[in-house]
Amino acid sequence: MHIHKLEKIWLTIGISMLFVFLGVLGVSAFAMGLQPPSEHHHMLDPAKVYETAPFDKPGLRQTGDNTYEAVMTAFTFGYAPDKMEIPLGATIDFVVTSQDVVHGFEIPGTNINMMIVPGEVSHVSHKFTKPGEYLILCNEYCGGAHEFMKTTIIVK
Amino acid sequence: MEMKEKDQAVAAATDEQPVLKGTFAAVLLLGGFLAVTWFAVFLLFLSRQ
Repeated sequence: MHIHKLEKIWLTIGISMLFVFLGVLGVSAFAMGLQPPSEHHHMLDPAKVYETAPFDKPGLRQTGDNTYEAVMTAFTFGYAPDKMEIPLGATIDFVVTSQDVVHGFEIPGTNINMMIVPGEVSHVSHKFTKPGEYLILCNEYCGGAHEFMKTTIIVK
Repeated sequence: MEMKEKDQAVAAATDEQPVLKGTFAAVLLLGGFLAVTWFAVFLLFLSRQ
């Protein structure tokens, strides 16, 4: 089959771009451990969130040298715990579930952005290297007071 | 009317194979746009890690 010289060049460029993009994605997923927040497939009964550990006592607990687990619940229209203080430079593993409808969990300015589905536990980790007040907000329409659904975490 | 030299070259080229210079330029522009925007978004993602 005859292929024009210029066609060969752009086909090579296109195919190499595809391999670079897929390569970056593959390295991020398998070598750097990036995964979707729902990867864990941890299920619970959304009607019994209050009685199910660890969501019966939402809050921050230390799990390692400089790592903490932030257990949180999302509900109409807020998050528990209401406020959290996080030490600067700590890695926080957020473990979040919803006790009613689908909510969002986004911290603007970071890569944290996940959907909180009732009955499922969503996980995301982030290292907070800049001090300040961080806003956690709901970005999935969840009802009448959706726009007031937020909480803050303080990093210092 | 006599054909200009350039037109004659194009006519000769189209007999054997099509002239794809313009197409090539368009493909490179589109490819460049895709690569630049892809890496811009990826760098934004890394900077927020």
